[in-house]
Amino acid sequence: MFEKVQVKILGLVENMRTFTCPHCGENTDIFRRGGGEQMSQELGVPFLGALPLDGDVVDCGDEGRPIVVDQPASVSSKVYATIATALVAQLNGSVTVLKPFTWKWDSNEGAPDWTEGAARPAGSQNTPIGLLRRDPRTLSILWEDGHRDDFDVRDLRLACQCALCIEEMSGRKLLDPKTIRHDVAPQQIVSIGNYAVKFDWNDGHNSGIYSFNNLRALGARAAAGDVENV
Amino acid sequence: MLKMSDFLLADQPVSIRAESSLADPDTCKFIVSRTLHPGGPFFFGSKERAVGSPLGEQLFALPGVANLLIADSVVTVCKEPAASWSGLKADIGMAIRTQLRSGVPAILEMPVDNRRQGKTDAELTTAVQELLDKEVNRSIANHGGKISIVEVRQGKLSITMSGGCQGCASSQVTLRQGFEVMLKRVAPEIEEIIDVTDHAAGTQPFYPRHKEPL
Repeated sequence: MFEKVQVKILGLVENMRTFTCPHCGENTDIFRRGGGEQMSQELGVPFLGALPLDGDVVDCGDEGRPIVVDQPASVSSKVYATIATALVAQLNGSVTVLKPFTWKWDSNEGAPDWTEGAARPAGSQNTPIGLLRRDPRTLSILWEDGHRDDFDVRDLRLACQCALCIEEMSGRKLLDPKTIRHDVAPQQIVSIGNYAVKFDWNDGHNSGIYSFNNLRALGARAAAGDVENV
Repeated sequence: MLKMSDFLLADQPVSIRAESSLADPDTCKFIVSRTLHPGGPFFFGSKERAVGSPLGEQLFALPGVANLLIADSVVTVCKEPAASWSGLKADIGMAIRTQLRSGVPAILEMPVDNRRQGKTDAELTTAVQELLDKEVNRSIANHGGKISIVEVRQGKLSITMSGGCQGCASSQVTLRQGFEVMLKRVAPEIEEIIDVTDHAAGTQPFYPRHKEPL
């Protein structure tokens, strides 16, 4: 789910790993061992740590005394500290994400950042690090891998994927280019989480959500299109 | 605003990139390395509308040009479906270069408000009435409703909703998502629709009136 909406997964924490018997001190892996590490490898995300199955965590939590405060020397507290340290390390190395924006197209008010410095060849292909009104008819998007796409605003209107423009089941296009006015332009562009933008168009249409995945694919089609110097 | 760099660049060759639209084969955007006319977009839906724009007149003189839009350093041209781009793109490039060399502004007479494209309130009233008669009221009549024009003044349209619409909780959906969208297609000059209906009037409006405190 987080992948779908492009929320970065900083790491994985396994819960209820080992039970230590309060009487004899023997460790038992009630839910077997190694599942957390295996899953983090499958997903390609860092493994931050594994919390034991510890009755003291439950008691402290229910009584409103966090175990890291109440019993800082306990095994559980030490695991929490390890996880927190690993998490901070992940956050320090994490990527630039554009701040949420509401961008008026005509006045360029509230325009998002354009951070060329954040581009790196190994960067993500569907994470924008900049959006720009190149001219009144062109929206540019700079991706984290350093690639730039230029979109004609009417082409963007025509590429709307909403249920009014694309038949939901068959994917058949319902939108006829002839019905879209030639001077159609965004009134405003609003970010949606980390994964998409929404346009309020000056023809009254505003139901389309443009995911960055789709925009990158559209950009590839545009680049392959008919461009010439005249 | 003309920038100083526009004057300094005056002797350098002009480059023009022609980018065909992805979804509309009749449309092509020409991106010029020089500002043609600051501000905009200025849309010319027909040859007649381009009177007063030297660049517009030049471009409409080319066979097959259906409408065009000039915005800053960009010209978007839509051709007649039957016309071919072959040769036309080069001719458009040539016309833009000639225009830049001439030193004459691309657009001379600035309409007071470009979006209204010089249509009078009376002309807008006619266009809106036609939309109501041909499309809107026909479909609203299925629900026993009707939209009537009260007046068009300075691009603002006042309407009343009667019959089944008056007092109906869904009337605002009909108005904003139905009528307004259709209206923007035929009369984009209308800036605002004002619903002057008294939805609480009558003996049985859908909006309940609480004469006594609950």
